[in-house]
Amino acid sequence: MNPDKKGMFGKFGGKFVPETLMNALSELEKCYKKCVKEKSFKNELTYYLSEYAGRPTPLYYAKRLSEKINHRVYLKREDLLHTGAHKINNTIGQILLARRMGKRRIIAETGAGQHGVATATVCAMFGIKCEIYMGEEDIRRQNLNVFRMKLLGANVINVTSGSRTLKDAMNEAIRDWVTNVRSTHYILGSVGGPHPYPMIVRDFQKIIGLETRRQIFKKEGRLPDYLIACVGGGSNALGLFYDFLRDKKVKLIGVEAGGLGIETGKHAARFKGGTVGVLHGSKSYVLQDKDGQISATHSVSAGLDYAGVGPEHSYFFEKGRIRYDAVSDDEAVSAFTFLCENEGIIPALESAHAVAYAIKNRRKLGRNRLIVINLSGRGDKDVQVVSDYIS
Amino acid sequence: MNRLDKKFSELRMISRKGFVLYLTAGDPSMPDCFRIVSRLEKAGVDILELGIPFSDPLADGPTIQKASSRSLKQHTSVQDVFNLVKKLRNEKIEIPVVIFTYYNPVLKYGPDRFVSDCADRGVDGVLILDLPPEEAGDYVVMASGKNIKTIFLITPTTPEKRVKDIVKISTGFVYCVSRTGVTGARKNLSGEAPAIVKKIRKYTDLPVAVGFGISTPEHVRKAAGYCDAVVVGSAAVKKIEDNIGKKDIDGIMARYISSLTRELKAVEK
Repeated sequence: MNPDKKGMFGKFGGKFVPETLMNALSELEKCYKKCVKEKSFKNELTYYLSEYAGRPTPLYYAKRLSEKINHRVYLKREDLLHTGAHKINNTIGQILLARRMGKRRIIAETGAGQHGVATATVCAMFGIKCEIYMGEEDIRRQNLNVFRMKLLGANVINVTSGSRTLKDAMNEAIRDWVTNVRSTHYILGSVGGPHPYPMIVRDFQKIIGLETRRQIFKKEGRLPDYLIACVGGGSNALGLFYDFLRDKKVKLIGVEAGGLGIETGKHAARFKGGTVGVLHGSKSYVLQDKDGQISATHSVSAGLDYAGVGPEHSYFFEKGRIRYDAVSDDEAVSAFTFLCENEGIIPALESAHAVAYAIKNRRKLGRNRLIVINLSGRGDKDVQVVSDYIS
Repeated sequence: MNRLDKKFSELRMISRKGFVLYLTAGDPSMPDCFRIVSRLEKAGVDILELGIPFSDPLADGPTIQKASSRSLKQHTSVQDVFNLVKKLRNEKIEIPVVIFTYYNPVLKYGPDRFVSDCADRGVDGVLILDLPPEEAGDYVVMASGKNIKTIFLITPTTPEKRVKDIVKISTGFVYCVSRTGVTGARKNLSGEAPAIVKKIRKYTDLPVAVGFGISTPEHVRKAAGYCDAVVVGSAAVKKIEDNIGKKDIDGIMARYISSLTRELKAVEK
């Protein structure tokens, strides 16, 4: 659905930001609405997505995973995109917008580093100055991506405030934007943040679902029974789900980070332990305490380790159109190694959560179902974390 | 009569500019904070802007971020902030108090209950930093029902059309943010502020306060030249940070703040 005039999806979303940013948000919205109608913009976007990023990505029949869980499982191979994750779909779109708005400097936040790398990449391609905010804890656990960003010419800024993860990187990026809003475009990496970001990022990601629909019809001649994707901020999930929302028979499942277990409080499962709040510019489900202070989260996967979630997810959660569940760190790491050993694919720990859900719930899903799992990114960045985790 | 209205009409009568001081509630501890704020009136502060600490203060620079974490380490709640104001009123301290907060603690508390409790405990106005006018409709109605002033920000990037809309729902005073950026002490005063104040005055007779980056006696004197009140925040919060643990922290703060407020008396002469 498209948000209303105030940027709300039902009661979620909006623009809860300091006044300094309000004008930049309406400029961005105006520019976006104008661009999407222009043929030249569409052509340019399509050109870079196919020639530079490598779209379309394959929809791969995962034979051994299918045999293991007794369903027909396809993996949407976003991990095969340039830079190794779906994030580049959005950064290409937003850099084209930034150029049209005449912005000379780009900033972004990153958790797992995939969005940071994808941003640094498009900035290098267009010769635009780029600064990436990343929490100290994430810099430690996703060091490979930090080095990649530096190679690509970006300045990676170490964020040492708060819990030193994605939430704090986002605070710092917003502070930068408030200060340099006239010259700078903020390439937000997920379907969160203030309007119009949730709409723009979703639109740039919905290519995943559009391709999936075409591919699954070609291979199977019918709609899938299940679509499964991990949900941090929620951009890969909405990207896959969006084109299937109207197909009521297709069950949509978002998988959150269960961390050490919901009962321990050390997790990032907003739809299990969260309540409605405002974080980073939008109203959505948030992990918070009774005083409205944002909770610390935990996940083995940096990309899912976030207290908030995109507002459109909250909307579909309450409508019941998308179901949300969580898998633990242990389950995600097991799925990670399973996919390595049985499919020859090293998935991102984020995406491994989606695979873990299918393995864990294989009996609950029915019999011989047709399932598409979004393999949103590849796991080279995670090998150190997994190696530490296993030992 | 609301204490803010009363204060500004008094200031107008004696044609003096107002001094607004921001402090984070519960910093460095609730008892110390109370000792500090109870001496502000005598130190020449006209209005106290009391910050509710928040875990993710995305419009604040490092100084106020640190003050928020100091306060949150002691689990300062919204209720505690109200109690602090109530305690002032019990001691017959009538300094106007504006609550400065992010929206989430208000949302969690319940905006309706928040506004009622403001009225009950002797708060005079509220400024919610990340609640733009577009989202503020219900809250403005609730607040006006309880005679709580709704203060909004106008910044260098606010287009004139928005200025017009924002002043319409502003009461008490209008807060002009002098620069694009987060809160924090600065070396130089923003050059943009006088023009923004002028723009605001085209559409309202409400008093205009200028803040963000006003840190020294010289800044205070200069800013007072073109607005009705100056706001000092981070510079004072830094002073607290530098004196944590000292027994006489309230005395140190009182003397420091007097050195700033003194400048406003000089302006009229």
